[in-house]
Amino acid sequence: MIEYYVAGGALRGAQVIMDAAIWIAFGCFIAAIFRNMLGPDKTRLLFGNEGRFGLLIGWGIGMLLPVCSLGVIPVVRELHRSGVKQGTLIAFGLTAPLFNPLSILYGFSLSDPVAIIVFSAAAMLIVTGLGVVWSKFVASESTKDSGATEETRVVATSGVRRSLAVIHSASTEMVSWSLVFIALGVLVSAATSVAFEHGSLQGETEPDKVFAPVFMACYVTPVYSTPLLAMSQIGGMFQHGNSVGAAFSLLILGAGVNIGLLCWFGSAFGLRRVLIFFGLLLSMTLALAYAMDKPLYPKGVSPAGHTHAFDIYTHPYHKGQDGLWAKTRSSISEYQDKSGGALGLRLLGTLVLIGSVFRLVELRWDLNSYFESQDQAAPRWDLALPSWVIGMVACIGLIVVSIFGAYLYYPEPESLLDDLSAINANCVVAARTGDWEGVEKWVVYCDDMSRRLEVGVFLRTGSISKFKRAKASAYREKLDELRDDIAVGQTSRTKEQAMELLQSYLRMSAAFRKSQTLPGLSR
Amino acid sequence: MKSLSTIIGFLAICVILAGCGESQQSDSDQNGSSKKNADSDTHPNLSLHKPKSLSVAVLRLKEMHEALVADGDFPAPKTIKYVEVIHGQGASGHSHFYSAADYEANGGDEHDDDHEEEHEKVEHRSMEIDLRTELTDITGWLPDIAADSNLNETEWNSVEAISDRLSKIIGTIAADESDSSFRESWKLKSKEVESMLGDLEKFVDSSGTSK
Repeated sequence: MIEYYVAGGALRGAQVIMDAAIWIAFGCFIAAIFRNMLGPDKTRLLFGNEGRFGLLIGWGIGMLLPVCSLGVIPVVRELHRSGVKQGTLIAFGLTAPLFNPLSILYGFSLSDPVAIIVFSAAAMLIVTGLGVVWSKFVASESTKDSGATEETRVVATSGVRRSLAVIHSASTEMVSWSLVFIALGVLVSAATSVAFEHGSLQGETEPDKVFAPVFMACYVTPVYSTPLLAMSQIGGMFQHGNSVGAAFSLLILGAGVNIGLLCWFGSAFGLRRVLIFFGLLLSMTLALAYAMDKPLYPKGVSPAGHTHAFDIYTHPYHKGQDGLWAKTRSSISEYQDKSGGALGLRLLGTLVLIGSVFRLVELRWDLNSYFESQDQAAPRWDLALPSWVIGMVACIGLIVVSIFGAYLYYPEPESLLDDLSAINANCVVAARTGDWEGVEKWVVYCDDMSRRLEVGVFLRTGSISKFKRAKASAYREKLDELRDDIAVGQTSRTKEQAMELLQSYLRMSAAFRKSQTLPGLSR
Repeated sequence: MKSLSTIIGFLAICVILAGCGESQQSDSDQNGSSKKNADSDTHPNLSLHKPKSLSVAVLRLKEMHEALVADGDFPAPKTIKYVEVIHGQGASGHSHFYSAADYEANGGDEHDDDHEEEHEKVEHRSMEIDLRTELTDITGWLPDIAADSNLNETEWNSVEAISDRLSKIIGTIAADESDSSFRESWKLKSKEVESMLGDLEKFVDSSGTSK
């Protein structure tokens, strides 16, 4: 029994770390740029501390910067240290994990775009409402961050010192209180997942369940989700005719917060304030969730009676399964390949390593004095730019990189179809040879890639034809049928279904490829 | 004190907002139940009457159209036998739905050995679909069904356009409360409908789907 919980928790924890690593690293660098290049004054100016539009600015910047609910922790700590207004900080801290360019694009491919627009508007309403209430009635006078340690604010001068200062801040952030809050978020998320039996959420979000939005809100608050994962689950919920209110709860409380972030809010603003904050967030989310539950319900969709979208939030294994450690090792390895988490893990590991070295060096030498000191003789060709200019360029650069990342994540249809072709073939072979675990695994990949295929077209042409959408949707329907039948042991038609899946793939492929032919299909 | 009253007021607005959703929910539930019988209310909106191919869909539309334009009794609701497979138990329980015919063809209660350890309950049920509901549903599903065929983009667009036009016709006469007035209104549109069904039949040949 101990193996059941520990191995399951290890797998779920590892998956969270792999999903979050790249966003946490981004968060550390964003915080370092605010600290060393913009400095507190310019940061406050950027977030509109002197004007009336701070909340909107916080919302806007939060939408553009690529971080998740764990990666935003270093950033909100830095903004708090810089003295950004608490209302603006709340708006930024909640928006940044909810949306980024990648997730919004993904959202448009999933369901009726109107639903995603309404979800975004409702999220903005919550964030703005919370920010206003907080600024006017809850905000404390003190802006001291209890977790800020003894670090002093640094705006490095120029050149190599400035670059070193950014690396120093980014890396030491990973050996600071931020790491504690992030670790707390990961641990609670993994513990919550293994507390629920495998697949135990499959029937909890049916449209006839009145308390589905409440259940979802309570369940996903401690569970970590990336913006992309939450968007894909929301898409699955629309496709399977699940409760729209539950989907909204998932977006706001699943992607938006986790226990680590709430604990930071608590440490910075006090327990009473964080309870008020969370109470307001929960009640606003639920009120809007119930308000939009029926009006946004997709037309022509039949409830499937269950959904696999939340299996990843439950225990990964069935009770009584053997060889869990070996399965955990292979699952972690597979997940790393699938999610591309290796890059993020390497980046984050390097930051932790460098940060630890900096911490050791700082025991003997004062690095901040070095970073703040002026170069005595700068070369004549070395044009000295103010730090805030570099900082602004870096922030804009991050946004440009995230847009560039969108093009990489959603490649050209021709290129993506080459990969999907191989994965679909694996799925078909697994179905034909009775490898049910293989089918379960490949179906998830195929589903995800078919959605990315749609977004790739949308991203490059600004639109996607109804015909292409219908073909991708028909393909996903075949994937669902195959997975569901296998899940309930209805396997006598599986070989036939595998061939239907192959045909459906070829039709979709022909629709998306430039040369629209149907290889191997007779008319 | 001021902040406390503001927060209470704020929460009250939230409750009112949530209440609006609930009232809309009950309204829409009432609309839905007016079309279905008591048994189908257990599992509303199941798509077990969705045809598996374009040819079957067009054939069924033709049958319904002919029944509507003919004289005689208004066609009785169609009974669909289906199976609810309740997979897992307690908190992890969830349902899978199959038409009874598909379920039997797919092995019925004989399950794969790998799933024997999981708790499963099979309930045999039935539901009734009246002609107006079936007509509306199949018309709306035409683009989905056509997407699972070999039709090219131009042909698919035509099927979608026909689906839209048919849905509009049904929409304009759906307000007719009694079956007889629905039938009379439908007869007035019969030429237009027949022309559309004729066009759909042409696409069946190129869809590559068997009957």
